[in-house]
Amino acid sequence: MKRFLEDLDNLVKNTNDMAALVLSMVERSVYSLENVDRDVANSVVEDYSQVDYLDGVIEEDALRILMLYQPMVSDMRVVAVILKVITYMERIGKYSYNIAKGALFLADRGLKHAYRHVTDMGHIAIDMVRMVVETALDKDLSHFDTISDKDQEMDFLRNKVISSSVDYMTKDPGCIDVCTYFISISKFYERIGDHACKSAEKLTYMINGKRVTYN
Amino acid sequence: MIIVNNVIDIEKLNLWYGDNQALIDVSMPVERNKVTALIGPSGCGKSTLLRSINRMNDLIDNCKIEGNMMFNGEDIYDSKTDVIKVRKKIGMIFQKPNPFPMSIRDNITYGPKIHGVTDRNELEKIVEDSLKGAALWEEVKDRLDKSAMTLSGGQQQRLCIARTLSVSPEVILMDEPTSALDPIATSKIEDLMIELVKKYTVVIVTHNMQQAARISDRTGFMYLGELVEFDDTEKIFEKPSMELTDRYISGRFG
Repeated sequence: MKRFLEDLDNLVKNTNDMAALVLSMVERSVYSLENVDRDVANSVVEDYSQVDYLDGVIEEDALRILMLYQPMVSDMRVVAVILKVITYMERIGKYSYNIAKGALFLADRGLKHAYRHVTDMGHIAIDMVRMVVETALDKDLSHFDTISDKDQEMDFLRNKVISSSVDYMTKDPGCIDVCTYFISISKFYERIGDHACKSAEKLTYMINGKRVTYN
Repeated sequence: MIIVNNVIDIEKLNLWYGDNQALIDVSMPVERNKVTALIGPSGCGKSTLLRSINRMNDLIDNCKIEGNMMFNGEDIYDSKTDVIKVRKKIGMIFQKPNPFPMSIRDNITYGPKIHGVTDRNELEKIVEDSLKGAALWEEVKDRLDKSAMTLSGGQQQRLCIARTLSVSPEVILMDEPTSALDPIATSKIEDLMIELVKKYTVVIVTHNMQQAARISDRTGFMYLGELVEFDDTEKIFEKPSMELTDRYISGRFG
């Protein structure tokens, strides 16, 4: 029993660490866009391999716990939810990586700052991922009270980015490559928001056993 | 109108062994054609509760019982109740297989003979039906006159189940029926239980949480003589209402 509790604690701790790293990557991706900062963008690109590594290690540890201890009730929910959430976190890390790559491209093109609606989306993404990270730590589900609203705001901004980008591209074909990047980045933030919502649903199940939908 | 399909209704059952109260205000339904599992740490009263369902506790000195144990609407503890009839209708399987030291056939016919069946053909049919019902027929049909003691542990346990079936019970009580068996024999008994509930009602006491989760429809968690929680098995093992249940099933105590 002692070993099981230690293994389970380690699993939870590693997952929280991974989520904290992913949150930091989302934050840095937004900063690198707002400030066209190559160093920060590069740090996000570099950190992805760590996220990928943690995804594999945590999955292995979780499967080993299932095999050795067959956890039940609340422990079963913890392990099952961790197996799902690390996948969402890995995806969020990968999108942050793609956004940072985009920031590097925009820097190459001599842009001074990114289109505001795109960085607004980034800030919402930060809020949403932070809700997940904080709830995982303090188990307070009230963090999710506004996550659905945030997700809708995200969709609204995404449509704005697309329509504005199409306008710009129609008026000035010279900005097609930049606008295409903005459209892609807005897509990545929208996906980050979706993965944060799915993580929130799983965490709710982990904490109170109830299945809910956030979107 | 709520249709109640309970074979047994336990109502506010209190049981004492001398001064020691082993069951405290236990109320629990046992639904027909369902597997009901009782879990809880050693000494929590689950075997006592199981044994009180067919009045096995009558055999213990200083055992006092209050409350109702309704079987098809009649109180098992009523003074007019025929105990032999109760035990015929509510059979029991124990932890350690306990076949009689006689042939496989005689193990099965022993009960029916006591209850007055003498016709040879009828007895042969009971032997075949009971052994088939216990998923043992194919393994022993060619050696019915061999001693039951030549069977393996898992086969002996299935023979005991067949012996219970031979007197056409309604309810089968099982007190840790697989804890003395290897994983393959255990899995055969579990498969058998799933078959048995199509015709009978099963109440099982088990220390194996995964087993309770796999085979039962309803689960009761007992602690210190009280039924702490009783609910659908899925709920008990996924999200029990009581913190105590969660702590016990997850192995935090007990």
